[in-house]
Amino acid sequence: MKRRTVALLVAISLASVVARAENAPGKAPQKEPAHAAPNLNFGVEVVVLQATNREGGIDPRIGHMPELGKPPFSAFKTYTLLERVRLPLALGAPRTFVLPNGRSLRTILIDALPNDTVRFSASIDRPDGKVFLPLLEVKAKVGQSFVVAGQRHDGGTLVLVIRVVS
Amino acid sequence: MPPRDRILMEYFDGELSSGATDDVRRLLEPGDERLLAEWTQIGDVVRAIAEPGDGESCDVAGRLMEKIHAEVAPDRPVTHALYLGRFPWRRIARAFAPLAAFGAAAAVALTALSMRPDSAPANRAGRASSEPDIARVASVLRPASPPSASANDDELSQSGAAIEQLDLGAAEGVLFVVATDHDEMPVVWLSEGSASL
Repeated sequence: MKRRTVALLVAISLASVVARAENAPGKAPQKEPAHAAPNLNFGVEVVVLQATNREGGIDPRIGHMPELGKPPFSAFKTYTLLERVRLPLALGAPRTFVLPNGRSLRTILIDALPNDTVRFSASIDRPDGKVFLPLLEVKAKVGQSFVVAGQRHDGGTLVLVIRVVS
Repeated sequence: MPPRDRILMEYFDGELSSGATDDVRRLLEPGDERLLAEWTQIGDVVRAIAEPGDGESCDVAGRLMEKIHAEVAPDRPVTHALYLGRFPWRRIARAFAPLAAFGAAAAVALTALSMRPDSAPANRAGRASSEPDIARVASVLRPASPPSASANDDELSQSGAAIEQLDLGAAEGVLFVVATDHDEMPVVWLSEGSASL
């Protein structure tokens, strides 16, 4: 056996011994991360409601939303579901949705956090491209929601319910 | 709820008989008087939120801000820049939770105006000067009843989304929290008063 071959075999053997020692039962296992890896498959569901004081009640398509029975939402007699869309949340990739009043809602993922939590921003632009709502930065878990309300539309008020989904 | 608080609430709501009302009035202590005064303030704010105007569209934000301006800072404008990361609005929301017990919604109102989109860091740096205004708003809106001992910060952190930063630009609006039995939902109510398409 040539000297070079012997050296190679010795090196492989040493590597094997070192690898076995790394996996030995007495060896402390490597620390697991404190939290599960963040889920990167997030999105937001935008439920667009129109609130008016016309007769009509709460549109059954809206589903269970007890907040509508609380002030100040209870000040309106009628809630109509106008649209329901899902926008994926991606780092560095803003998603835009045109609202019924012609303005655009833009969302972008800022950070995917452990425990199904995200930090994302939302903003609203006017049709001419100027900003109406420059920045709303939210931290929320999947299933949690917030509301942006007050824009006028067709004799009523738009209520945007924005919920994080996975 | 302690019997004393329940009786005080019934007294506040005018639900007691005239004899009982007289008895309670006679037995009121200084702490009770403060509590009643703060309930009155909270009731005014909630009514300002809840009562619609004559028009189809209800300018909640406008009326609420008028109310805050009138009650809180007649000599100074209310908060112009609001960075919510350090503001304890969750604590205030929790403090409002007892209101649900007597039929009112939990609501915290703050106002925010005029942060240029490209100058957020400057406004963040300048928020220290705004905080006294925020504190003044909060002091008016904070009910006297302490939060429930069972409600801790961990529970609160699980109970709703958190708005960490808000820039309303040239628009006006209010931020408040609507609480139900199981959830707290932050609401940004924009005012269209000075904004149009």
